[in-house]
Amino acid sequence: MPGLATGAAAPRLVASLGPIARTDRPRLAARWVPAALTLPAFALLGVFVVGPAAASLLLALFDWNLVSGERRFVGLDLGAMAADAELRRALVNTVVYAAFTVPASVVAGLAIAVGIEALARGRAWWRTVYFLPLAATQVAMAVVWRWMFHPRTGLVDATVGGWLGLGDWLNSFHLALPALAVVGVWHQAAFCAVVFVAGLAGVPAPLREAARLDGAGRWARFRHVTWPALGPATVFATVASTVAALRVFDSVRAMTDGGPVGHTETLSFLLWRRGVQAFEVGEAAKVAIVLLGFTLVVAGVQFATVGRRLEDAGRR
Amino acid sequence: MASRTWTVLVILVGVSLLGACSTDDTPEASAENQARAATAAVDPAEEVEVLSGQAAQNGSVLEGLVAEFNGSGAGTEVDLELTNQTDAETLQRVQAALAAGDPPDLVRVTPTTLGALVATGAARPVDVCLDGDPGLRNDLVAELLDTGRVDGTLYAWPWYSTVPALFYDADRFREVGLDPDRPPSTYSEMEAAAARVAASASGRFGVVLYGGNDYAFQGPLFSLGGAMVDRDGTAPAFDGAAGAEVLGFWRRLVERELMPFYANPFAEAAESFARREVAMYVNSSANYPQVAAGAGFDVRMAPMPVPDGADRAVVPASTNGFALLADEPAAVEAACRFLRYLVSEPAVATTVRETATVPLNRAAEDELGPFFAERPDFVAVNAQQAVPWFTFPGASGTEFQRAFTDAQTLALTGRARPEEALAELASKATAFLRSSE
Repeated sequence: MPGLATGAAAPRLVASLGPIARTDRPRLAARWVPAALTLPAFALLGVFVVGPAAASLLLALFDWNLVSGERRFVGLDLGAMAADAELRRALVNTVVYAAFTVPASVVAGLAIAVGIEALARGRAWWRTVYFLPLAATQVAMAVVWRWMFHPRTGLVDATVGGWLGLGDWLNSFHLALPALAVVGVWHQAAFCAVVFVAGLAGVPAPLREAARLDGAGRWARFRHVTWPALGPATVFATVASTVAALRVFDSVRAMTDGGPVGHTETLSFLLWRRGVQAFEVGEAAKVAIVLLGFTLVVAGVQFATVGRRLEDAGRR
Repeated sequence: MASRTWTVLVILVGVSLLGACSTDDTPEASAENQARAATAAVDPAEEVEVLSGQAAQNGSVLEGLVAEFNGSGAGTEVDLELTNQTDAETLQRVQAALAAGDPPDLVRVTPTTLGALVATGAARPVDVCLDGDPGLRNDLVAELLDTGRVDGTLYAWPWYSTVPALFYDADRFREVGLDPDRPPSTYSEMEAAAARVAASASGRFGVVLYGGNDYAFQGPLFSLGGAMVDRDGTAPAFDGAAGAEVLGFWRRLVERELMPFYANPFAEAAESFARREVAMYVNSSANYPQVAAGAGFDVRMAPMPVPDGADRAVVPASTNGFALLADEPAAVEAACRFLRYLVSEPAVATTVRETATVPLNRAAEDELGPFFAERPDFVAVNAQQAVPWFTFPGASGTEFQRAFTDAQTLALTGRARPEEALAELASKATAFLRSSE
């Protein structure tokens, strides 16, 4: 039979194949073992991320009463979604909240981290202090903040409010969202500080020492050595803070319940209000789609622009 | 990435799937089950799951009644879950449980949340609980029983019925030279009293007349000849002159700094009254015993002051009751046993003593003895002419209340004239009415 090695040729063929067969096994293993190991993660992602995403798309197409079981196909009317005043307002509130909190959290977190690292003693204690807001339950802390923002008698009105001539923050159309942002910065700055403290630990000491020997001052060392090395940490802190800001819910629910008149209603809160409070799952699914799409776009833009530059700087 | 979004959606999808697997709950099946319930033999070990929010409003009274019922050897054990959630939050929880196919047998409701349960077919008629006891039917006050009816069918078994009342700090009245035995009875008297209190110290307010829903609005609206909807019930009518006058008066009090503005009025008004920052506020009369017991000063209550020029004094009556969600015959009968106990003479006497409300069962009057004779203020408050608290039909009841609070906020803060705020609210109410048709 042509092509079939027989007789004396067979051992030569086997001999020639032998090393190949021996090297194929590890190659196959190298290919399949990682796939097998990642399979559970992919399965979980499929069940808990991809599946629900597809389901939310499906839900958005229906007016579905989960109690009675009645459902009616209504489709995805993008025009109606664009004209939805509540949705637009929630989107704007979310963007404004993120604009208030993300830069402030990152800058404050960096300042805290640098300050802690500059300490000669007591670093561990200060790290713990600044980690506490992150460890605390956000809803419980939001309730405490609500008391602090209480008109007239709350700590904020009695101190900062008096100096600035501002008061009754949570009942104010102009100050309620900034009040939530203050709480957001307090919480998120702690997260950023933790990230930056970890990032600072990775800055090569010889580089800093070399810069110092070259006569670089504190600011020059920070600007030319420390800050570039913190590129990946900055990207992570910024993106994570942005995602946290875009999905803010706990403090809104506990402090203002979206009020006054929707002035603090964010996308996540609107999603909850429509899906859980009004039990309109189709409408809630539409908000979820907007929230997901918006978050993806913002995170993508951050990675593609500033993120890439900072990461590259960090690698150098 | 948006993990909270996913989590919520996963839950909703799971809930919807579970809901699809639930048992047959068509109206026909329900009617059959209830018919069977009337004659079914009762499992002596039958357990009734009862969910009640509003723990702060007489939750301890309910706990006491349940304990007494469970100890009475009625052959039914009530498992009470008492939370401090609001009506709307309790409704959300029940809806999720219904979708999952595991609702409680009974849930505490008020008029704003009952409509949603009736509209979805989740609430079962509770007339069946009276079928086996014609004597009890005769003893119950028909007008109060009617507050639990929707389109003529009894869906909410009443526990107690409460009306708005003016709670006031009698000690503060004395301090500022007001007579605590003569609380204000008209809006102008109230404004004058509020001005006296507010002038006595900075940061002190006279009154809070509004709440987190339209309960406090409907009384003066009706008193001034207004209505929530037109005669046919097809169009809103609160946006007329009467409604604007009510909101206009409230706005004036805020402008004069006699009344504070709160975005979350229920909680903040109660806190401010307890801290003695506010001397008068509107509250449900059933809250009086608990408020008075918890305050460190002399708290009294009086009938709601009437708008000047009103030709009558009317207040809305809100009935706290229980909606029946159980479907199985044995569970229905067990639930009925507890409901009948709730309006029995001893239970009603206990409820009246603890909530300062009118007795639902005429036969309980003997058991109450001189209770009302000793509390003329309770009599005065409960003698207010009351009409059932109007709520928008179907599932829109809670959504309307949110829209109303927004309109009230716009008017009280001066961001919109009362007429404008009510007109915008009316357009939303029209949509609610159409969606329920």
